[in-house]
Amino acid sequence: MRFPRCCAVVVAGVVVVGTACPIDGLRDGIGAPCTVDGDVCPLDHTCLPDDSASPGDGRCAPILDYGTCEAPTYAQKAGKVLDDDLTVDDDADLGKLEGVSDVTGELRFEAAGPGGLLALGDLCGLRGLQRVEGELLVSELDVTTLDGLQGLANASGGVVVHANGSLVDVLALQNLVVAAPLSGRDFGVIIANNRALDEPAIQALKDALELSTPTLKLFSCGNKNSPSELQTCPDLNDLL
Amino acid sequence: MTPEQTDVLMLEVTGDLDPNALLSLTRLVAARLGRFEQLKVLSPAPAAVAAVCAGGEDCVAKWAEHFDVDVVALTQVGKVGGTTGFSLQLLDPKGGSLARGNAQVSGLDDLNERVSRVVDDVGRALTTSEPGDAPASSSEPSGPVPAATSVPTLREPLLIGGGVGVGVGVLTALLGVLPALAASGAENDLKVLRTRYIEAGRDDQLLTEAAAAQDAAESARGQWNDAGIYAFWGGVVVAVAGGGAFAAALLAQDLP
Repeated sequence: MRFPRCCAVVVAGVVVVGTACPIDGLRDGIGAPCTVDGDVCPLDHTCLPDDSASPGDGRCAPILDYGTCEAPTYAQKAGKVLDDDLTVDDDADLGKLEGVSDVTGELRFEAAGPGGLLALGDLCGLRGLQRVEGELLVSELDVTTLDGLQGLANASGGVVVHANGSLVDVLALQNLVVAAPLSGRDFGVIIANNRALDEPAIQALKDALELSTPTLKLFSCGNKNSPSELQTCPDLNDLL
Repeated sequence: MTPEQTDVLMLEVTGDLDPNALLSLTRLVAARLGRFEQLKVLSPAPAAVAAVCAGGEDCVAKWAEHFDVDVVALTQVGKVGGTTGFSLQLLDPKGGSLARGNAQVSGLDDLNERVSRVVDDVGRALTTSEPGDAPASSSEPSGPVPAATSVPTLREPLLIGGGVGVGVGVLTALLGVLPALAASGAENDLKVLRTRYIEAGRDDQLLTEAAAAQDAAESARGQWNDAGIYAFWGGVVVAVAGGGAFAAALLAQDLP
C-alpha cells in the first residue's frame, strides 16, 4: 500500500520538531554517578565514594565551602579536560585552568627560577579541578590557603605541597580520595617545608582524610612546629 | 407523532444539460420532496440507473424492489431550441404513475423556481399534504439531501473520525509528555536536595536520595528523548487535525 505524501510530511515534521527539543543532561549534579578514578562530576562538585556501590564508584556531591574563594555559579556545567602536562609560573598559565576539571598530565606550580616566589595571590581559578592524573606539585607560592582545590578528589600521581612560605591552611584538600604514592614513596600526600604551616593545621587535614579515606597516607616534615625528628625533611630532591 | 413515511427512491435527473446542472437539479428535487413529512427520500442512485430506467417499467420495478421502496421519482429535462422542458413522475414499484408534473422555461435562470413549484405540486398530489418548513432553497440546489439513509454521508465520518482523532491525539500526547513531566519533577527534587545538602553541611542520606532522583531523571530523560517527544508531537498533530475535522463537520452545514 502506498504511504500518502501528506502523512509522510506530517511524520517528518513530528520527527524534526521532536529531535529539536530533547531534554539535555545538564541537570543539577548532586547524586550523579561518577568514578573516583574516571568519570568526573559537573563543575562545583566532587566525587565522593559510594560505599553501597562497587569499589571506585561514587556519587557527585556539591562543594560545601570554597573557603576564601567565591562560590562559582556553574552547578550544571561540565568541566573541560586539559590533555597535557602544565607548569604554572604566572597568571596566564593559571588562566588556562579556569573551568578545567580534569588534567591528564602533571600539574606543577613552581617559580621560574631557583628560590623564587610565584605570586598568584590565590588558587581560586582551580575551583573546577577534580582530577589530576599525574603529580600535583604546589611549590613556592605566595598563597596562604589552598582554597580552590576543594573539588580535587583524585590526584593519581600524588600531591606535594612544598616550600610555600605563607601557607597556613591546607584543609582545602579534605575531599581527596585517591592520591597514589609516586614510585619509591610510601605516601600519597607530602607536605614539606612550609614554614608558616603549623602542625594543628596539618592535623586537621589528616583527621578529615582519616574520616573519608582511611587508606590515604600523608607525610609532613619541615613545617612550622614539626616534631623535632621531622624538622628537617629526609631528602628534598626525592620529594620534588 | 410522526406520520408513517413513504420511501421514495430518487433517481438521478437525466437529460440535455451538463452534468453539474443535472446534479443540482437532482439535489433540488430531492430536497423539495424531502420537505413533505410523509416522504422519506433515499439518496440519488447513479445516473446510469436513471438512464436505463427512463425507457421501461420493468426497470423501475427492478430498482424499486432492489431498494425496497414504495415510490420511484423519475425526472428528465430536455432542450428544444431555446426552451428547456422538465418532467417529474412519481411511479409505484410496478411502473404505474402516481403523480406527475412538468414545466417549460425559456431561460435556465427560471428553471430552479419552476422545478420547485412542479415538485411541490407533485408532492401535494401524492401526499395530499403541504410541504413542511425544512430548508430547501431553490436558489441553492446543492443543499442537503434529506433522509439520505442508504449511503453514508461525509459529515458523519468527519464527526466520528474527528472526535476519535481528538481523543486519540490528546491521550497520546498526554502519555508522551509524562516522561518529560517526570524528568522535570526529578530535576526540581535535585535542586531542593542540593539546597538541603548544603544547609546540612554534608549528609550521606541526602546524597542517597539525590542518587535515586538522578536515576529517575535520567530514565525519564531517555524515555522522553527516545519516544515520548515523538508521541507528544504526533498526538498534538492528530488532535489538531481531528479537532479541525470535527469543527468543520459541525460548522459546514452544506456538506453532503
